[in-house]
Amino acid sequence: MAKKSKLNPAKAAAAALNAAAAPPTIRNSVWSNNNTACVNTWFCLSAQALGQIDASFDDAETLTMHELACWNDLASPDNREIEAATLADILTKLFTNMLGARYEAGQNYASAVVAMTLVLTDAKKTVCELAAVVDELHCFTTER
Amino acid sequence: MKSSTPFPSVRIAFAAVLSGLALFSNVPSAPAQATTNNILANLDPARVLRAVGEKGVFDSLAQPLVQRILQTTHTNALLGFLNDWNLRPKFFHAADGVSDDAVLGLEYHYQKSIASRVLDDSWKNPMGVSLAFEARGDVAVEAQKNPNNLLETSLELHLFQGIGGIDPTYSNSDAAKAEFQHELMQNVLDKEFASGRGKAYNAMARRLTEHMAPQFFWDLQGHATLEADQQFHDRQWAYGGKLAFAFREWRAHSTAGWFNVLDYPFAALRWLVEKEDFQPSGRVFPSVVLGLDLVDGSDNDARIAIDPDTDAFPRGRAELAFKTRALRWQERPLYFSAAYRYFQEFSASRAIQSADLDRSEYFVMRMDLPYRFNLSFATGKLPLDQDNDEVYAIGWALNF
Repeated sequence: MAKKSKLNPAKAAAAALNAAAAPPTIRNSVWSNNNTACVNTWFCLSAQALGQIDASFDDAETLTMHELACWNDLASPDNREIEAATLADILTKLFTNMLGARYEAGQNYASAVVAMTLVLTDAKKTVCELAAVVDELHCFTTER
Repeated sequence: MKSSTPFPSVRIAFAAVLSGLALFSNVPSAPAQATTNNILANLDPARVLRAVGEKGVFDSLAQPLVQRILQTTHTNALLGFLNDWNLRPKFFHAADGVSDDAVLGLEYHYQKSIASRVLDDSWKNPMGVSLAFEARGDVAVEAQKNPNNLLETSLELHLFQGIGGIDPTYSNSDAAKAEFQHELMQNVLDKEFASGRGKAYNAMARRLTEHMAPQFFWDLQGHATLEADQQFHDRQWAYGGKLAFAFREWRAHSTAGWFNVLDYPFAALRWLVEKEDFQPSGRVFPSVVLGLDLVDGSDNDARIAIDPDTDAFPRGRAELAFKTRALRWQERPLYFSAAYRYFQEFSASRAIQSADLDRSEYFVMRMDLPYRFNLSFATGKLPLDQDNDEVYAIGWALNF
C-alpha cells in the first residue's frame, strides 16, 4: 500500500507558487520605528489624531486602505476619491505645518495630494506603502 | 441565464495559465530563486490545479503573480508604481449568492497623473491643478453575470483646494516643529506609546490636533469619459464637469459635529451601548459629488431601440456617501455605510420618459454585524441598467 504523503497539497501548492511568484520588495517600503515617514503616517492616522486606524504601530504596517475608517465600499469611486483627497490634504498639512516637513525637490502640495489620493483610493495598498509614498513626497526634519 | 461554460473548468484553465506564467516569470531570475523552481518541478501539477479551488489559494496565487508581471524593473521610485496598471483577479457572485453562479473576472484601474501644479505656493490654502488619465471597471468571463457592468475611461483636469484643516492664525517656529518631531520619534520607541495608548500618546495627539480647524476640500473637474458595458454593445461618450466636496472637523469633540444630523442615531447608539459622550462626529459628514455631463448615446442600442434620436443629451448627477461607526464588537468597529446616486437627463424626449430611461437612482446601505456578517439593502438602478431591483441581503465579508 502506498504511503500517504504528509504534505497538504493545498498548502504546499500555495506556499510554493506564492514563493515563486513573490513580487520584489518595493524599495523604501520598510516599516520601521526609525523611519520618520512611517511614524508620522501612523501617528497622524491613529485613533486620537485623525481616527482612521485603531492599531499599534507594529500592527498598522499591513493594514490596507480598505481598513481605514473613511473607506466606504458602497460609495461611488468619485465619492471615495474626494474623501481620500480630503484625507490627503489634511495629512500633508499636518506634516508641513505641525511636523516641520518640506516638500522634496520637484514635489509640491498638488503632487502630494494627487499621489497620496491615488494610494488612498486603492483598497489593497497598505499603510506601509502609503508611508513610502509620504516619504518620497516629504522631507522631514530628521532627514535634513 | 445559466453559464454556458462550466465554472470549475474556467477556474482550472485560469490556474493553469497562472502556473505557467509563474514558472515562465522565474526563468531568468537570480540563482537564489532556483530552489523555488525546483519545488515547483517536484509538485504534481494535478495537485496544484486542485489546490486552486481551496479557500485562499487563488488569492495567494493571483495577487503576487499579477504584481510580478506588471512590476517591471524600471518601477524603482515609489511614485513609479502610481503609473502602473492595477489589476485584481476576482470572482463575481450573483446577487442570489448561489455558488454555481460565480464567475471569474478582473478588476482594473489605471490612473496616470500627467502633470500637477500649485497656483501659488505662498497661499495658506494652496490651490492645485492636475491633469490625469484614468480607466477603470470590472470585466467578467460572462458579461451577463458582471454585477458592475460599466467601464469608464476618461481624461480629467482637476482644480482643487483644501480650505482650513489647520487654524490659519497658528504659526510655530521651525525649531518648535523639529522639537515636536524629535519628541515623537523618541516616544514611539516606548511600547505603550506605540500601541496608541497611554498618557504620552494622548498628550502628543492632543498637541497635534489642538490647532486643527474645520476643513472644506473641493475638487472641480472637467472630463471626457467613454462609458461602456464590457462587451461594448452599449457605449456612450460623456463630456462634462463635476464638483466634489467634503467637509471635515477632525477633532473628536467639536461644535461642527453637532451639525452632522445623519450621525445623530449612531451617536445615540454609541452613547447608549458604549457609554460614550453623546457627540455626533465631525469626521463623517457625507461627501457630495455633483456632475453635469453631455452624453453621446448614439452607440447605446437599448436607448436607440426606444428613441432613434442619437443627438447628445445633457445629464446631471448627484452622489452622496456616508459612513460612520455604530458600535464596537470585540474591539472591532461595526460601521453603517450608505450611498445614494441620482442621474437625471434634461430635456428628454417623451419616448425616453415613457420608458423611464431619463432618470435613474440607486440607493444602498449596509450595517456591519458581529463576526463579519452584514445586513444590506439596495434599491434602484444605474444608467446603463435595464431593471430596477430591490434587494435585501445578509452577507458575510471575505477579503478576496
